[in-house]
This record gives sequence, structure tokens and C-alpha cells, in this order.
Amino acid sequence: MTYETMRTFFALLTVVANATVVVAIVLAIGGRWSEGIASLRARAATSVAGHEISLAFFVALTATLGSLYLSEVVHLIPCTYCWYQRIAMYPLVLLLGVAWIRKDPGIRHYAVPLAGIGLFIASYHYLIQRVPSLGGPACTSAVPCTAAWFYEFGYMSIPYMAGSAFALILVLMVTMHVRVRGT
Amino acid sequence: MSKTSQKTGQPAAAKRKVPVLAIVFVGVAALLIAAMFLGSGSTADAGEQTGAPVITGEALPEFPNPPPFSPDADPAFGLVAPEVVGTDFEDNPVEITHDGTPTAVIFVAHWCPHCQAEVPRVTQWLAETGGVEGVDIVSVSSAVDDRSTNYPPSSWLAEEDWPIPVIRDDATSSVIRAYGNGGFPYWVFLDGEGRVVARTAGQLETAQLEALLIALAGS
Repeated sequence: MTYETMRTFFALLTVVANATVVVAIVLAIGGRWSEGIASLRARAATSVAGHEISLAFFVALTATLGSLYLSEVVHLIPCTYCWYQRIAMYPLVLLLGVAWIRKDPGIRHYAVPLAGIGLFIASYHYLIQRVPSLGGPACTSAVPCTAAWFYEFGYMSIPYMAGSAFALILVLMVTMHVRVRGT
Repeated sequence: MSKTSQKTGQPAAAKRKVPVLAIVFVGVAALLIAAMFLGSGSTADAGEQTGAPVITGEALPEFPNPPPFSPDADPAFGLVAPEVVGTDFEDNPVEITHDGTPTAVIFVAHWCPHCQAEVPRVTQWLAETGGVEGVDIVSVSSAVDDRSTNYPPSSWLAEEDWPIPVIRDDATSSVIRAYGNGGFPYWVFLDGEGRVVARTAGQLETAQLEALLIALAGS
């Protein structure tokens, strides 16, 4: 499996994650005004009911393994903001894994803040990659956070992919929260 | 009494559970297979993007971080920079020598977004003004990384119609390290005897660049 293949694979996963988040947001908002959309929303929520934690676990696991592949196998050096995102993502694997085993919906109270912080940092990191002047005037010869290792499909850099994973975890946790609160 | 299945005792109208995880795993496997077809492909031979420059002289001190408030606060101020004999992407010789002509040296990295902004700006300024008479400008392509964006640097600079002679730094970026390892784009301004007049790290406005080159011409 070449590096190029893995990059494309991560990008395709990101496309799916983005589509899922967008659909979830559309259903959440549209369901307030349209009975048809509300019905779709209910069906979608029912289909993942009871699987939110496991799905979020696999998202976090994939993101974690993906980041480790890029740094430990391909030897792309993480910059400072990459490390902050790792600090938010890696514990989610353990927390969500344990919650999945224990079937503990209370995990959402821990996962949401972590994923929210991770999403915020990933978003800012992506912003300074696209608008480098916001991140300082120069690229250090070490590992500047304004420089992207790659832009898959022309726009997906590593923080974009990480942010997509955080967003999907958030959507899953919120979906679970709505379901648990409603029962 | 509600109708039930005779076999399982489950209500006949019971909904079947959607095998969400199975569907997800199958989907991920499908994406991986798709990636094998989409992601593969030969990379055109970029040619030699790094060279084997010969560096003579003592290395300059590291460029300070934060940058010095004024050039004379730079520990390299007044020191003689190393001479460099190298080649460009077509193997033509390019040199940084202390031959009596003031020289501005710009170090660029293909993956650095600040360099990607600086190069076309400097190119346009040179096209409009012709530069500053009596001052040579030499560039050095450093920190080449074929895993990173905007590779290869030879194509990048060719697409930008970069008019400045380019020295290919070696794979360990020896030239920029000898010049103090400043952040990209890294400018080092030398008088005719090769002494450091100023060093800057980061994008320069063309007005700033012009002022520095004019000062260099008069040094």
C-alpha cells in the first residue's frame, strides 16, 4: 500500500465524514420545519441508535492510526498544532473504547469537550495553512504549522481530515445525547 | 393475542436491526479498494532537485529568534559569509562569491506558503523595475522534500518564470545552515566583500526589498 494510496484512502474517508456531518446538520435543522425531514431524521437516528459510541470509537481509532502512520511510517513531522490535535484525539480512543465496552452513554460528557477542542484547533490550523500570513511571516526550517504536507483533492490537508473526524465524533455524541435525553 | 412468528416467538412486525457496523466496515473496505485505483500512479521523474554545492568559509551564526530589532543587533552583522559554488536545475554553475559586487541571497523552500507568495511578487518587481543596478541577486532552493506540497521546486520556479539564478542546496540544506538557518523566505544581504549587512526571515514588501537593495548598492 503506497503512501499515495493511503492519502487517497484518508481523503475518501474524510469525504464520507463530511457528507455525514452535513446530512446530520441538514436533518437536524430541516426537521424543525419539515415533517418529511423530521421523519428522515428519526429514521437515521434509529438506524445508528445504540451504535453511536462504537462508531465514534472507530472514527477516533482510524484518525489516531492514520496520524501515527503519517508520522511513524511516512515520517511526516507533526507541527505544534498537530500535537495539540493529537492530545485531543488519542484519549478519545481509550475513552470511547471503554465506554463501548461498558455501554456508558455518559461518555458524551467527556467526548464532546475533547472533540470540540480538537475541532477548534484543527479549524484554526487549517485556516493558517490557507492564509499563512495569519500564522506568522516566515516558515521556520523546522516544521511550520502554516505549511501543509499535502492537499489531497486540492484542499484536504491533515488538519482538515482531523477536523472532519472531530466533527463526526461530535455529531455521533450529540445524536446519542438527543436519544438518551428523549428516553 | 398478538400475532407472533411460530419459529422465533418474535412479533411478526418486529423491525430487523440494521447491521450498522457491518455496513461501515464494508464501506471502508470499498473506499480502500477505490483508493488503490485512484491513489496509484507514477510520478514523473522530477530530476535532481538537490545538488552538491561547495561551501567555503565560516558559517554564520544562527539567525536569532525573535529576529533582531536592527541589522547591527544581528550577531552575523559585519561577518564574512561563506562562498558557495553550486549548480542550478540544469546543472549550470551558479555562485555566491565575494567579487566586489554586493549580493542579495534569497533562500526559498518549495513547500513554504510564504515563499510561494514571495516568489511571484519579487518576479513581478524585477520585471517592472529591473532590480537595483550594481546588486546581484542569487537564490537558493533549500529544504527540498518530495513528500510535501509544490514539489518539485524546479517546476515551481519555472512556472513562476523566476528570473534569479538558483543554487540547488544539498539534501541536508547545508547552504542555508551555513548562512544561519533563518525562516523561509530568508534573505541575506552581503556587501561587495561578502560581509553581512542584513538578514531577514519572512516575506518582504517590495518597497522594503528595494530599500534594502539600494542601501546595499551604496555600501
